[in-house]
Amino acid sequence: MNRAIKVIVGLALLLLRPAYTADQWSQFRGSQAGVAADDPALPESWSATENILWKIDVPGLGWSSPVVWDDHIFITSAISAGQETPPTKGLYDPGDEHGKTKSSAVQRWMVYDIDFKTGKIRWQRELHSGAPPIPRHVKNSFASETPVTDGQRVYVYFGSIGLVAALDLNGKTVWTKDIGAFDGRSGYGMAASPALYKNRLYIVNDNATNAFIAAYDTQTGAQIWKVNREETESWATPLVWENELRTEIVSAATGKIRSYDLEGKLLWELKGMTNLDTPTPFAKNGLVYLSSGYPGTAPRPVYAIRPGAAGDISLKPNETSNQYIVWYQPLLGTYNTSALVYGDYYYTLLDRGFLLCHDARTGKQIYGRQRIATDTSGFTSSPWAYNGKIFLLSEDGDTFVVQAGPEFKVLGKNSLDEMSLATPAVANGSVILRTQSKLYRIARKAP
Amino acid sequence: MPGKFAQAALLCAGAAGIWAQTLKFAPVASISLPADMIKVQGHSAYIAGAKAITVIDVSHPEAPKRAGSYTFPDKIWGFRVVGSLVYVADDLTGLEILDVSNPNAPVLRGSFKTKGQAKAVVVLGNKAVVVDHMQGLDFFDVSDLSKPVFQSSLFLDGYARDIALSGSIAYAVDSPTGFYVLDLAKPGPPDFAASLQAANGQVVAAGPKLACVPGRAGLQIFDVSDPASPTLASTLKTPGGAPVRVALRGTRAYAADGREGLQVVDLSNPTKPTIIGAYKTTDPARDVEVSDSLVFVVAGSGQLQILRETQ
Repeated sequence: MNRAIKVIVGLALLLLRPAYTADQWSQFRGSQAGVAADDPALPESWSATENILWKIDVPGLGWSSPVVWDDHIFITSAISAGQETPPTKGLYDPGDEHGKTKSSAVQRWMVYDIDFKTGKIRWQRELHSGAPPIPRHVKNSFASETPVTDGQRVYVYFGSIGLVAALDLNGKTVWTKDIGAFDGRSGYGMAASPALYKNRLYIVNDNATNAFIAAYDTQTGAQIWKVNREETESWATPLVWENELRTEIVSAATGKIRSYDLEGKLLWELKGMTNLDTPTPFAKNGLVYLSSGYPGTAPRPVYAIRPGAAGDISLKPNETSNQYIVWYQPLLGTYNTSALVYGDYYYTLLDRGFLLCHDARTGKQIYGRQRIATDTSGFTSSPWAYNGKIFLLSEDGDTFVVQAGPEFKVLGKNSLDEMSLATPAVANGSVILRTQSKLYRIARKAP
Repeated sequence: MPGKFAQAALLCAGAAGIWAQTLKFAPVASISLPADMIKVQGHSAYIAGAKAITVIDVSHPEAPKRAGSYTFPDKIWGFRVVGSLVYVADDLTGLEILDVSNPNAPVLRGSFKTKGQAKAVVVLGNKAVVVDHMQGLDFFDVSDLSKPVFQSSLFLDGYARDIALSGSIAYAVDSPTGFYVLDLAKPGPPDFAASLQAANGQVVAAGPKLACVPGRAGLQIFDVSDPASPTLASTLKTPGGAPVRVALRGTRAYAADGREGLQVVDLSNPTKPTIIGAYKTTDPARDVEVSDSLVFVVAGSGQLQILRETQ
């Protein structure tokens, strides 16, 4: 085979190979920040009865997302022995305590492995039981951190009890580690998921007494390094960003965005986030996107940052970009949802039910605030996309289907009629969607 | 020696402050009941406390008498009295309309479940505007009290907090800083006549030429003599530091100033507001209403104090 043919064959193979594997969704929002590989088997419409391959009841309460590896679906939950204050849909002022709620009931912190094909529980493990040492927001849960898997083990983190654990795919506990349970400034509980990169598990725990980011050995759970941070609370999952220059860990928080190298050395930082910070950083098109948008404050920034930054890259007054900040929008940040870059566009799902679209590379507005529907309770789940469509799951359990591209158009609404805050997984031609009490596998049924 | 000079200067300043306070108040009566907010109309005071509205007969202010009450499903965030009707912003239950024609036996006439949390309400004719934490401002046709009809909503950028009405001009505030003006008499889809990012509080009171926003910054005074171009005229740091609510009467603002009780502010010159009277309530002042020479102050979480202006 001469060189030209080799190149052509190589290119053809590259084109045939999916950009990323469609049968795994190993972490919160998958490996592509909510974008799934196109697949004609993936559904565009469903209801409680239509295109549901199976549904199961999930005991307890957990707003963590499902993750998928081959025929394993992993989810977590906390089962209360008592009566918990039920969460209420919508964005609202919960009153004097701002939603802080303390549970004295014994909880059981659970991990489930569910058979992808049948929906049967393959195994379940109780990792801890007891009264939670810290409070939570009435809309949070004690199992809001999404597990992560490398196909050998599933790693779970329960910040409310400070427990990290690794289980093999047969459900055997490989190791557990107590890293401490700490209360945040507002007493809203924990939610930042662990991040996995090669043989290390990275955890951010921002709290009022001992905020830190730390790396743990995936085989043993041994702490490799730990760096303290001046933060008091945040819920953003850290991102391991493999860019053209290096691999770094980007973490958004109330005080600052920080990026660390893989040994915990601070590379760069950026001030200017809002006082409650939840959206997860993600990377696309060679840029990392960061957002923070508690609606009761301003600015509510979105930053797009190129690789290679060093030191303090904060914008100076009246600046909207600098050497590393490619673009900045002062009022585009979201409260709970993470944004989506799909194709050339950056989509913002505002928690109060609007979608906006910007050019992902320049930040230029493509379309402004578009109301998704007049009858929604708000959005907490992050958007996802495939087959040229964007999916927006409301707290009511309604998934709005919106066409991707420069023109806003709602194509449909798929209702499951139960409160939903978890971001679904998409794998093997199916959407794995978790509502408050159920887990659904949704796919086009063969005609 | 410098210490003595400083002390003397402080005494002088204090004396000037005392002499500036020309208004005096005398306690008339008080009554204990769950109380967060108050409105007064005619001989009735309407007290919102937690989930209930209680009507108090104040025709004899020295002997206020409890009439009827009505308990709603949720916490009352705001309310307005219009004639014999009380419009209530009742948290996630939404808009509630209470008939108080018979103050001893209030009757619920209608309700509408708003999409988000109802925080405040104003009414102009058949139009009710509900501050909705989720949607911004919700507009209703309340021609048929038993069936309020949702018409449209107007999004506020931050968390919608409060609305006040003067004539047909409504003033709304959101968190963190939004201050919005809209004319409810204007036909067609509702829209803002003006907005500015300058408010620093969660409630608003309005008069013909001024609007006040109490909050952590103090008492903000907005000049709204031209509603199309409102300006922040001044901010007064009150003795309590963070006034909770305020009532406007003519050129005076009566502020519920927390631990410092009632503060009366002269707004004749909105750019130079001056405290002209005060009354230290036993518990922190949380809301205030003025009717003729009487001042009604909600103090703590369980007391209505009635004061009379004595000079």
